[in-house]
Amino acid sequence: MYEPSAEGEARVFAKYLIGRDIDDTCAQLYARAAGELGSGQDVRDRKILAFALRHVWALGPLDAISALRRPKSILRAKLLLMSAILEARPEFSEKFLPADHSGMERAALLYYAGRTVARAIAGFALLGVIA
Amino acid sequence: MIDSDVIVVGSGATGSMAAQTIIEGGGSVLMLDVGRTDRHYAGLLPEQDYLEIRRTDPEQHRYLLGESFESVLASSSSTGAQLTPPRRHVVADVDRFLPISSPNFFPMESLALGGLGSAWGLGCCVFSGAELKAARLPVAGMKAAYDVVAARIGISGERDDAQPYTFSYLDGIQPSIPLDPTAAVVYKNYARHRNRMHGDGFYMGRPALALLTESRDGRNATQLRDMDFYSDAERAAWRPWITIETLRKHERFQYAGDRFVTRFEEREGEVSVVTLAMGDLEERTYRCRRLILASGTLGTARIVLRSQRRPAASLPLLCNPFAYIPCLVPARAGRSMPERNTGLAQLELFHDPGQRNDDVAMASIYSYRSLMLFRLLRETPIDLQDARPLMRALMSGLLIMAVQYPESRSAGKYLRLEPDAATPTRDRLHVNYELTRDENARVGWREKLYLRAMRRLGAWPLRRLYPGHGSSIHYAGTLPFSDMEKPYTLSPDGRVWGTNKIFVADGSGFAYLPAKGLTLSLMANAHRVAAGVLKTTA
Repeated sequence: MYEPSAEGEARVFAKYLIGRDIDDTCAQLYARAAGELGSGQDVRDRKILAFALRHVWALGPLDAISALRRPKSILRAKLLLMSAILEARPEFSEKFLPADHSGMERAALLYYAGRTVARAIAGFALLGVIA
Repeated sequence: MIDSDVIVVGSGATGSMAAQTIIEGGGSVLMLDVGRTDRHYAGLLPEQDYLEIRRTDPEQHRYLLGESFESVLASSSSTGAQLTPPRRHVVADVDRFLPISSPNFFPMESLALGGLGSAWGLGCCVFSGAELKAARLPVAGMKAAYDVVAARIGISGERDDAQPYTFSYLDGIQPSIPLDPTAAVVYKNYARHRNRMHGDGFYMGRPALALLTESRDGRNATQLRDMDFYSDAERAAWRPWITIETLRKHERFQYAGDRFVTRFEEREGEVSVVTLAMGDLEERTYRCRRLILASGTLGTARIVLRSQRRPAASLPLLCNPFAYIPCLVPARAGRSMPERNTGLAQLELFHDPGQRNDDVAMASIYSYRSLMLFRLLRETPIDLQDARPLMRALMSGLLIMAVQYPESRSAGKYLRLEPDAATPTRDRLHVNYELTRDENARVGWREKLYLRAMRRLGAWPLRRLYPGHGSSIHYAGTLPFSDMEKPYTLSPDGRVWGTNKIFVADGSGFAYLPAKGLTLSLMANAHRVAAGVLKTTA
């Protein structure tokens, strides 16, 4: 099973969540937090995580379907952990704090809403492949 | 050898009030308490606004997420999950020393200095005459006691439609905190639909809070730093520890921490109080002339059941049915938030269909501020890459309504003590909590009315969350007040029937539990009981 280092995992997740590279401090913070979380007991969940890390393009669909079908899965837990750590970094905090949205930004919300539906459908199919 | 005239068990809202009354009346007090405190996070919190911290402090993860990331890793449904890391000491050691087994009741208890008062939302409500009578509390005595307690703690609020349900007739109320813009939209709509809302039995206004907006007694007015869920550094919010800190300077007050009270025994004009040391469980007995139990309804029930050694008893229990209803104010979505405010309740919405102030439901309305976005993301059933911008946009338009319903006694709500050799006290509390079909129907009926009312006020209910019985953190009624001497009841002055010198100052005696925030009434009752104890000591 492909398992990158925890710091490598942090970089993959951060890129997926906010589209940005992170520094070593942030990656080390995630590594420490992931140590507290553990690696999960469910074999299927671990397969899903490994697949997502090996095929980064699949992260979105697998995250979307996990949110619906396996909200307590290790993939979801690790992504939430990374998200919380990014939120608590001053350099990324604005991405999480409320702000006045322009017309373009409001329109983009419709795109995100549509994309998440498409991802959930794709994720459903992917789950079958991984199983 | 007597350790003190009066022993008070517990340092929470009721214990601190009872002790203050005894000390101010010339008596002496030994307070027995576990007294867990936060020895770590307080030193990490900078004296800055929440938003400033978020934008500048590279160490913020330590107190926002927790040193062990406990805020993120804790299950959202576990006891105390809503507590931020600097408040989590409130539930420290509870699982070990206050074990509970229950299929349907999930309470929050505390062994902290200040008890549950250390995480109190600060809402203050005066029970109406009808509610006091239903709870079997003396109307005149409680009214006088409310005045005393309000003067001690300091209350801010506003004279509006909610006043009859919040601070009512109390004087000396400080001006209210400013209204958050999201709540302001709802309040403006309420003003527009006021007559229709009143016709449906709904009354809205600003909350009365134990929060200073004007400095007094060495405490500062709130600086609106929005750190209310994390810190009491300003001392604007009244917390029991503030009163305890003042009492500890008094020579007639002693505080014994790290002591867990297990039982009492009354013999030959004295009361023996048996305690366990928290570390090595060493037993130590203290002696007094009068004992005041203020350990919280569930804690006091344990102590009384262990001590009275009557045939195995089931005690009644009351706890307000409770639901969270997140609502969206579309007009406020995708907007920035003002830099300064507070995360405490912005509005209260009371449902009083008979307009008699005798059967009132209460909803506290909070803006989603000063809590991190990940708490919302965790509950969102979509991928996190898309959830972040979507929830970030919705966050500024989000209101969280916490609805509570009044509660009366019925057969399916009870507790008893069961043996369990694996616990330090060799027992555990078993609780069953089930509403009758009629009670469930009434709660459901009122909930629908609340949903309709919020839609009328421009706030769309998104979902209904039921954290389970016990989650309102309002507990009462295990030893109901009674005029007749019966086992497991209290005399009108708070004395445990069958004893001469044991008194209960918490909510155990309330025979009815109004939906209005309970804490001010608990404190008023504690003052009333302690004043009575003082007279008997004299």
